[in-house]
Formats: sequence, C-alpha cells, structure tokens
Amino acid sequence: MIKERFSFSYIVLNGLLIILALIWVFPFFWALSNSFKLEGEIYSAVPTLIPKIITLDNYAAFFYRTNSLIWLKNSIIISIVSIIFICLISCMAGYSLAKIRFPGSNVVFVVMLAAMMVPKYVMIVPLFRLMQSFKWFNTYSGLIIPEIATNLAFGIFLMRQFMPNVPDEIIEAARIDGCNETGIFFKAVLPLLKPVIASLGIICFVHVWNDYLWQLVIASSSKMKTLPIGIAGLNTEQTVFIGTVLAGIVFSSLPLILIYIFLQKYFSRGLTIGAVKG
Amino acid sequence: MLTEKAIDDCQQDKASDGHLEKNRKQKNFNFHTARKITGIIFVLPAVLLFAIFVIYPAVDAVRLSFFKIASNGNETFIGLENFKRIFSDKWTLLSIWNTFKIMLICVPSTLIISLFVAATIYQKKQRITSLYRCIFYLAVIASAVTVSLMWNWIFNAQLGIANYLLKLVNLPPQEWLGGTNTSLGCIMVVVVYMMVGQPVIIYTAALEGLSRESYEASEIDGANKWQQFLHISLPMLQPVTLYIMVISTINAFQTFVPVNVLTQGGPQGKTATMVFSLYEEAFLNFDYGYASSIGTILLIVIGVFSVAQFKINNIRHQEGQR
Repeated sequence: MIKERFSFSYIVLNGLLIILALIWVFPFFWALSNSFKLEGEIYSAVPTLIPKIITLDNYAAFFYRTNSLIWLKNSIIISIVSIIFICLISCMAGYSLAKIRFPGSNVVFVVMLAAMMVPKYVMIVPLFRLMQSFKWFNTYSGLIIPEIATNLAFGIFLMRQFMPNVPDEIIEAARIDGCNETGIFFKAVLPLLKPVIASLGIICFVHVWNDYLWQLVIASSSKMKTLPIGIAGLNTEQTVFIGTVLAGIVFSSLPLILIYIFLQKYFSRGLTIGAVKG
Repeated sequence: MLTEKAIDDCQQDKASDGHLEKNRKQKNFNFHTARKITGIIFVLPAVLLFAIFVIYPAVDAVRLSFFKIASNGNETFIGLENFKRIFSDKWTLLSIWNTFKIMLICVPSTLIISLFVAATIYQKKQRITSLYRCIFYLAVIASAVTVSLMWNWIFNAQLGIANYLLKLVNLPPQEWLGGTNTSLGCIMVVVVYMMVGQPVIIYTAALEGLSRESYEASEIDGANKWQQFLHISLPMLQPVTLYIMVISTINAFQTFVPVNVLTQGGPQGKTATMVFSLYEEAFLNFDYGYASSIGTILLIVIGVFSVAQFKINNIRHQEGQR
C-alpha cells in the first residue's frame, strides 16, 4: 500500500513539481528577504536566505525618500476609476448585444472581436499622437480613458458570454411590472451580473495597474507616474540603493498578490469562460 | 402571464369591435422601438470609446507606416520605403530574429512546464491544487515590472544570487544581462516565468473537466497512469493545447517589459524585441512612420495567429457539441 503510494514515479514527479514550485516562488521570497536586510548584508559576498538582522530601513526609504505615495495614489485612482467605467459600459453593451436584437448588433460585436485581436503596441503611436492633440499628456484623462477603451473588448466579450445565464423570464417579469428599459437593466439584470462584474473588475484592475508601456508613454512627470513606472525608474537611478527598490517591489506586488489569494475564484472564472467550454 | 394577457386582450378585442386591437398594435410598436432605441443607447458609450481609441488608432497605425512624419507633424507619403528599410536595417532585423527566438524557445517550454504542473496537481486535494496554482500564477499577478526587477536582482553580475550559486558548484560567473551570449537567455527565463501561470490554470480546469469514462474503461483494460496520460489525456487536451499555444505565441511576440526594464535592448541589440524596436523608433528616435511600419508587420504576424486561434476555437466548440 505504502509502496504503491510512494512509488518511484510518484517521488520523481512530485519531486520535480516541488522543485519547479520552489523556483517559481524563489524570486518573490528573495526580494522579500532582501528588502528587510541592512545595506551591508545585502552587499555581502555570502548571501543569506533569511536576514540576520531585520530592518525596516528600506521601507522607510521607499516611503519617505521617494515619491512612492504619489505614485501609489495615481495607480489606485487610475485603476479604480477605470474599472468602474469598464464594468458599467461593458454591462450595458453586453446586455444590449445579447438580449436586445437591434439592427447592426452583430456587426458591432464582430468589429469588437476583431479589435480585440489588435495588440495595443501596434496602436501606441497613433494613440500617442491623439494624446498630443487632446493635450492629455500627464493627465488622468490620458491615463484612464484609453485604458477604458482598450479593455472594453474583453469586458463586452465576457458579458456577452455570460448573458445567457440571465433568464429572459426575469426581464419579461420586470417589464410586466411596469419597468421601462433602463429600469429593467438596473433593477432586474444588473444584480444578476454581480459575479461576472466581480471577475471583470478584478481582472481589469490588475490589467490596468500593470499596464507599463502606456503609463510609461503618457506619464513622464514625476507627479503623474504610477507605481510600476516609478519603481522601474528607481532602478535606473544611481543614487537609489537596491534595498529601496526591493522594498518598493515587495510593496507594489503585495496588494495584487493578496487580492489574488483571497479572490482567486473570480480570476479563474473570468479566464476560463473563454477557454474551456462549460 | 404574458399569454393570459394576450388572450384577455383578444377576447376584449372581439367584444369591442377591433378598437382595442389598434391600441395594442400601437403599444407593441412603441414597445419594440423603445426597446431598440434603448439597445442602441446602451451600446453607444462603448461604440464611441471604441471608435476613437481603438478603431481609429488601429487604422491610423497602418496608414502611418506609409508616411514619413517630420518633427512639426507634417506627413509625407513615401509608399513602401519604411518597409524596405525594415528588411535592410540590421538592428530591426536583429529585433525580428530575437523575437522569433523568444517565441521558438519560450512557447514550447511554457507548454511543457505548464502541462506537467497541471497534470501533476489536478488530482490532488483541492487546497493543495489551489496552493500550487497560486504559486505559479503569482508571477502573472505581480506586474511584469515587478517580476523583471526581481530577476534583475537575481541576475546581478556582482551581487546576484545566480552567480553565487554558480560559484558554489565551481562554475565561472556569468555576465547574465550584460553578456552578449547570456542576455537573451535571461530574458527568455523571465518570459517563461511570466507565461506559465495562465496555462497552468487553463490546463488544470481542462483536466478536471475531462470525462471519467475513458479513464475507467482503460483501467479495466489494465492501462497504467502513464499510458492513460499519453493516450487519453493528451488527445483530449489537444484543443486546449492549441489554444494555449496560440495565446502564448501572441504574448511572446509582444515581449517588451523585461527588455525595457532589464537590458534596454542591449548589449548591442541582442535582446531587442520587435515591440522594443517599435518603442525605440517612436519615442527615442521620433521616427513615427518607421515605428508604425514595424507595428504593421507585428500586426500582420499577430493577426495571422489570432485568426488561427479563432478558427481553432470554432473547431473546438463544434467538437464539444458532437
């Protein structure tokens, strides 16, 4: 019995799995560990897995000697405002495309699907020139509105896939009860969409937060930089010490990791809706 | 409820000489138009945002590749000049070759690693499976910048732990990100590291969803786990594998962040990818026309893969319905 359970192949396969898992966890662990080390220990010739002395110096430096709090504020504002609009507009459009057949709804959907295939990098130059003419450089509008637009395709796609789960009877019942169309949407349909909205919101939040290239191109002033851009910038500055950068890395990934750990199911649901049938 | 109302209407209608029917037809007419108008209004914000910030730039991106843009914004039509330049400029060609190298090595690696992980974890207890999934997805959640900076520290030639580990086994230290032979390899490591998470989740979900019948039948016939995997799991996973392959290829083609954060395309362009080249030409050399042409080539390549993915998806749905 035991021999069967711990057979040779079992040990080899699980051993390999554990090694891979350790490799995948290591960079995070290493950054975390080093972020609590004193300067001398970080630079020592013999690296230590766990700091001999734990210090918060690096974090203090990160928060007080850089613009990290401003960057954090920017990232939060951009991400939250973006997902509010993405969710709302996606719900409205998805509902309309799936439940209300108006002339041209299929055309709209196909165009959106096609646009989903165009990678953002390809559009970056014209978008940049658009920002030039709108004078949206270093503004929240420039950071937020294009983000909303480029995430809409995914959002509408997700919503449309989920709409069959909203029974037509509910809509009919609401209509008989005297609701007008907007009332039907906000009172009957929207509450049923809560799980998808949660998934969409969380996935887009992470997506917008991490959108490096766009933020790099639009926000050049240090007051408008976002957290990822700011920390990457720290890395190239000569006067900033590696410990500070590591503290920044840990700090900036912590909220996202926590969101993921506690809200895992929303990610899985959102990602697999398109990939796996049923 | 609806049909009862209709029956009532009809009966009243017959009684009152057709007068009610006209009213009902009018009400139906208003109802349908109101519905359609609402439908259009509901899509309007999406369509507007889309038209301005997605469709217009996408079209303009292709258009700009046929122009030369001066610093004052003047556009001169130059036809295929930009494209000819792509195929004669050694830096751009190098970036295209680098991008292909990344795709050729990272995509199969990602597939194999993620399939292995998913196959090994999907039958474990739920909590343990979740834990493993979490570990591999962390790299996707933490931004590409964060991950790149973490690996930057590991690959640091003087202080990084990579060289320390080499020292422990008596191997010579490498220059990693600065070395002409090793820098692209480092980028590939980071790319695979970031790409494995999503396929692990998809494969795990797919494996969990496979029907048990074939497995049970084969067990009766005496098949062991390895045979089951090779002859049942793999074939049944084929559509998912294709999907992941296409998605990974599309992502690999767009590698930018690790290059921008770690090597800036160096040394000597050895790590420049197509997107990095696009970025360089547009925002460091201010050659918008040329950058757009690189983007157009990128679009064509990725477009081909996207269409392939779409077709594969359709085949999958058809097979699933059989």
